[in-house]
Amino acid sequence: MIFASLISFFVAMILGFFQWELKRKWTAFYVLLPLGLFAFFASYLPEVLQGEQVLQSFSWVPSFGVHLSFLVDGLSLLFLLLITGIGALVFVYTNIYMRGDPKITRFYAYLTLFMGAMIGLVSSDNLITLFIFWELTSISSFFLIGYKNNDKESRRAAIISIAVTGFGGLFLLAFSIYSGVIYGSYSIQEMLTSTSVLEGWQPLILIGLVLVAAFTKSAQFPFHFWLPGAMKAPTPVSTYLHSATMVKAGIYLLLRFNPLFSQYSDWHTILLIFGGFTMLYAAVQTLFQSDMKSILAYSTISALGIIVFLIGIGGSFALSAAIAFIFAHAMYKATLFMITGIVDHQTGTRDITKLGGLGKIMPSIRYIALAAALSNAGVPFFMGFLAKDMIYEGTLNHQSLAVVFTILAITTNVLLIYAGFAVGLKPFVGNLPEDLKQTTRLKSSVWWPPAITAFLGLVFGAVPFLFAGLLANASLSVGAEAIVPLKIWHGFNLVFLLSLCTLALGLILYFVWKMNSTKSIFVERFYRFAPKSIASALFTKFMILASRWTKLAQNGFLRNYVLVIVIALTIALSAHVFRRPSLYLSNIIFTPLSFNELTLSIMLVGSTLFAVFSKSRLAAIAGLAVLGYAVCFVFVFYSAPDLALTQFSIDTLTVILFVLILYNLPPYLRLSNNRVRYRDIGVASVFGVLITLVTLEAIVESAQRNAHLASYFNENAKTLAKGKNIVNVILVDFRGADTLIETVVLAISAIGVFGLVKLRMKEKE
Amino acid sequence: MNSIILKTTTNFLLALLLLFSVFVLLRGHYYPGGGFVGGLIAAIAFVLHSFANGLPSTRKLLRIHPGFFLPFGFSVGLLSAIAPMIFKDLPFMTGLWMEDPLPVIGMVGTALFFDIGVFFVVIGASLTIIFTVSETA
Repeated sequence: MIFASLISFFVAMILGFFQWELKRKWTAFYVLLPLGLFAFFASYLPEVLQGEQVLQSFSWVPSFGVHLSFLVDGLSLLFLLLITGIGALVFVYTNIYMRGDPKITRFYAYLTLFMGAMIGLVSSDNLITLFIFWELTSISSFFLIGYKNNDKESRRAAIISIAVTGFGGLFLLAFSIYSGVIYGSYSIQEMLTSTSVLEGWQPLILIGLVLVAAFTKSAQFPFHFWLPGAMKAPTPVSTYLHSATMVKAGIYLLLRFNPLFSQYSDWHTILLIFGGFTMLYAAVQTLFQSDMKSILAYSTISALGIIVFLIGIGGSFALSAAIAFIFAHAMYKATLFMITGIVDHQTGTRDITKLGGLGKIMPSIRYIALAAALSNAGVPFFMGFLAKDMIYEGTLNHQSLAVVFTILAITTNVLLIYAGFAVGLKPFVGNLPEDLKQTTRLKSSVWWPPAITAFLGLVFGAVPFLFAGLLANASLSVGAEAIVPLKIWHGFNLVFLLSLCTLALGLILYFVWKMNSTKSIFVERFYRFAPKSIASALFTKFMILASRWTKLAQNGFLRNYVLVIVIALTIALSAHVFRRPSLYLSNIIFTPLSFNELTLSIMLVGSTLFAVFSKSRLAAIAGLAVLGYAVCFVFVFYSAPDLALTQFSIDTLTVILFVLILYNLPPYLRLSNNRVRYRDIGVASVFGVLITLVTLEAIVESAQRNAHLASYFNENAKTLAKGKNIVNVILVDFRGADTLIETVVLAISAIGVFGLVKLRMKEKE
Repeated sequence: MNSIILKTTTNFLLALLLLFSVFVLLRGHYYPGGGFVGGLIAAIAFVLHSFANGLPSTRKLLRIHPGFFLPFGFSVGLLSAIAPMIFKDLPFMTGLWMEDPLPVIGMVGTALFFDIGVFFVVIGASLTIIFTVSETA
């Protein structure tokens, strides 16, 4: 499984970096990757259907307990097949939809990256890797939403989505680490099978953390607002990420940890409140949207709310319903999105108040859209019917609030039926408006990706046992106790009656409710209180704060940076030093001063004073140079030849650099006034005293405490590293990894200087 | 600086200093020295040359932009660090050594190559910074 993920990343990298122009007919080859992965994961079906789990594990960072372990069980496999299957169709669809786009290779790179991340996310058994893949899906989603990067709105939507999902990602990280601490392992399977009981606040904290992560990703109220914004993305992205797969990652997380938390009543309460509110709120929103994609976005949020709500109800019926609904929803919503893309592509508008009669121009699309809308409406022999049945069974089986929940579910479903018909039926019936008469006919191939998803919705709905095995295994792996049979005909019972009732009410609503502009104006008045406005206000305030803070801390004057750094260090060091002030003074050992030491001290102090008081910059640099060479002598006298050599060379180069920079500096614009000087004297003196104290500690305390280090290096330099120069052996062998990273730092600083200076030169030109 | 004496001497000094820097680099494992100091000395040699003969002639002498030493040195260091993983299936940065010392150079092992990598990164970084800054002067 890791290879499935890695191969996607690899392909994404190659596509992203090289971006060669493939001849159009060859772009079809991109589809081979998701198709191949689909076949690969489908090969796990027999094993998983027998209730087995496939576990693959590699050590990655064993010292932190991070293993690349991957697990395929019923739930993972369902998601994997959805990701790769819908992925393959979206890849095909993209090939036609984005035809002629100059950056299409990059688009495929992002899609492939996303697919790899998603595969990793749903098959990962380690919390840390789960988090990494989770963030990767957010990042690739950011790229995809902002794909039209010339459009300001797209960029803004991309930033909002990554801000919200990234915010949730932090909570997932906290959840991972905290549960790793509690359970002593990052393995999800070990967590789920662990016998240790959570105490006190622990369950509530864990539940809170995981819920924020899941709610941001799966667009639950109050974090839902990024999803309608994300519809700025090209339609294949909306199809793939924002209806079928990525937004369900949060749902996946909830389902995955459901066995762990379902014993706590808080888990159910919170899920019911947020899921229930979201599904109703978003479903009502669909009534006031005229853009097809917005309707679909809100109905997706509502559908996600239904799933969260079902998980909140808990129990075998509701959990099976959740999983069946995930599948059914992926099928019909992907279809509707692809249809929307085709309509938009051909007519140039997605406004349902302007569209109509398109069935005459694109008859094939009309029937596909109708099939999806019917599945959405829960008409018998469609997948949606089974899902709807199971939802009502789930709500009716709740112990105390069955009636309330069922009414909630019916209301939501009625509204969603309207949404489905508004997108899947309305643009295709009625009179063809004048300005759409010129609409070109379709290229024949574009309709078959949505046709497949619509057709699968019908097949699985009509022959449910095809899906029954996977559903049963998936629901068992999320904590359902019993297998719920998947049947079309349960007899003429309450559930069937409710389904019919919903359908009838939905149809009535569709025929009665006509969207027009007065209604959208009416609802816009409430947007002031919507979480989106609050969040964007916060966003603006945060930007103001950030720019003020930057002006304060990063004002472009080197002297202020030095001052801030020194003061910060002073505070940190004094906290350390004043814990045990007596220690330092008692450690000073006075020895008679030798002639060398006296001369050196005079040199050191004299050159420092000279550098400080000189009126010319060049003279000050000369003073600093003398100071550096004097320090070099200190190293010589106290037998540190390596340090002396390095200090000597560095000092030489530094002086050269200073002199070179001097050419570029303006003459002293104004000498600092006395107030600033006294401030600097104060800061410098305090800092100097602290450094002296810390040095004393290093000499006396640490030398005793870390004596074993010196002797270790002394003894082992020759035997382990075959060197006599301990300093060098430490640098290239014992602490070689540090040196390696330091070379990187060195290189980065050089590139930084190069970049900054060259950029300035170009600006001058 | 337009001094004929300095110009003449730097031609010899450059070679001598570079030789000295390699000497410092190679003896590092046993006596004071090493890649870092060696790299600094080599950088000083080139800077001295550029003072006497002007930056363009030093650039001509180097042929490539000193920035290219950075990835080269880093790759050498990194390769010597992962060599034990590839050849011997040992952990990252384990020292591998030849059985017998070579004449002049002494013991040859991954640590030496690592130091050579450091040597080049240091040359690259110092020369890139100094050349870039002096070009604007």
